Amino acid sequence: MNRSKLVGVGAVAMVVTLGSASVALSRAGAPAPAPAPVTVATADGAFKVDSVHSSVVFRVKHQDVAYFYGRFNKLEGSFNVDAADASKNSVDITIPVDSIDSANANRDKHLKSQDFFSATEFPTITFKSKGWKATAKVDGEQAYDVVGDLTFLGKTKEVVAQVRHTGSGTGRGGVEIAGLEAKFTIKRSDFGMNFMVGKGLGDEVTVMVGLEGGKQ
Amino acid sequence: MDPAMVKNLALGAVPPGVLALLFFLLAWRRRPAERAGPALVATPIFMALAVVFTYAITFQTPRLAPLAAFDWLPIIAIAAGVAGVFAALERLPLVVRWTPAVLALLFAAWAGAKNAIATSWTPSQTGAHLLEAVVFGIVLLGAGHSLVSRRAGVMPVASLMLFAGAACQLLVLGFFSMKVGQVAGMGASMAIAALPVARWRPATRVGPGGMVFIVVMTLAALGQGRLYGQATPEFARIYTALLTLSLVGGALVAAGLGERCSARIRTTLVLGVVALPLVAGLGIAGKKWQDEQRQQGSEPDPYAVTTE
Repeated sequence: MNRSKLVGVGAVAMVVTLGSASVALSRAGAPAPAPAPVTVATADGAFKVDSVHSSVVFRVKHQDVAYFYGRFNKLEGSFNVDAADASKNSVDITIPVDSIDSANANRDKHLKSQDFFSATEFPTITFKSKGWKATAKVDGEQAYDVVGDLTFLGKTKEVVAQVRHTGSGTGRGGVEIAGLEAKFTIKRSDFGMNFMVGKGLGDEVTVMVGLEGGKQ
Repeated sequence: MDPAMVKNLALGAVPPGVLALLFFLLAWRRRPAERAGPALVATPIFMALAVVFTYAITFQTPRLAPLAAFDWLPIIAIAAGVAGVFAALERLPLVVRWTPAVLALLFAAWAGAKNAIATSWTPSQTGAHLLEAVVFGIVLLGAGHSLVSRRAGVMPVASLMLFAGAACQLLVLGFFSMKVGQVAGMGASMAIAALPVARWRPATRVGPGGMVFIVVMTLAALGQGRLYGQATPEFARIYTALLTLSLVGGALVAAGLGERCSARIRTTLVLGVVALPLVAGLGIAGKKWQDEQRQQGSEPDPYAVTTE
């Protein structure tokens, strides 16, 4: 923004401020008006996951050489963000295993088989947070260590995810929106997914989740 | 194929084969056919232990509190082994001898579907599943009994090998269930190992116990593949029908031929019938795969279950 525009914006702001002050003075003695609704999202509140704008990506090492990335194309759930009190935060998401996408139809079938996710037998993966602890900001974003229960293949285990509150704002139709990003690493063998562990496919799987939600 | 995958496949196939070779050599060492009882009773016990051992070294330590259907397979192996022992005790009354085999079929069908039964199936769905598994199993046990139980030599062993081997192929290539396919393949490995022993010592028998074990385990694996594998229902139905036809057709031909031709010709004809539906099935699967490749584009798909 150049200097002349800045001056212009400042002048408009002064006029609006002075105008408001004069209106306020003229109403002196009258009951104080209700405060105007805050239009800038504070990110506080419960949000429903917008699956179209959220992502679940995972990576696993292949042949102990390179990381392979896959994703799940669907997820649903909700999260709660309270900037002032981390203990009020929560996240509860469900991922349909059938939506796995490794960019190869045959590999997707194999991933859905009993060798890996047994998608028909265990159709969902769920994560439910149990405790949030605020940590130092990262890149200006509030970060948390989140303890939660991860369930898949019928087994539930506690994991710790590094979560960041990546932003908040106003979406289409004036709906308040907020975003979280989570990252955690698990050993798939802890959940009974042993196929090819140590024989070409890594045991450690890193999961990255980007959530965007609209206020409920 | 990746070296790691070769190692994994070898781990599932070689130990049961080597153990079975040693077992059959020892069990049928200069043993007259009329004193076969102990060997016949020991066969299903050996097979059950070999499968549990191979499962442990190939996949995971067997779980006493299974979560997934696959976790139940070592327990099903023990149940199939016990049922095999009862079937091998030929002096027992018919009902006592065969009821454990039917119960093992029922148990395998229930354990394989336990999670679905607990969460989403209606009682009628559960009943239909169990009934189908038991009826299908009894048909195959009957065919297996006629073809394998009382016969010695190569033909019964080779019939079981073809049956279990075809189920293994179906599970791996058709259903994308490598692990479950490998469990079916363990039965085929043991039958393959028994082949040279049966050729060398013609009195060698798998007997009713070994037959019950291999048929129940193969059906347990096949049942899980049908429930949780990724084949289309049509493909699963066609291939299951072919597997049934294989064993039933072999039994009918063996019974029809009787002693009217030489052992060599009888073996060739029976094995030809046992193998025919399976060869046809593999042909259908191969053509289907080719068609899929054509639909996906001119480039062949670089991914296969066995390339990982």
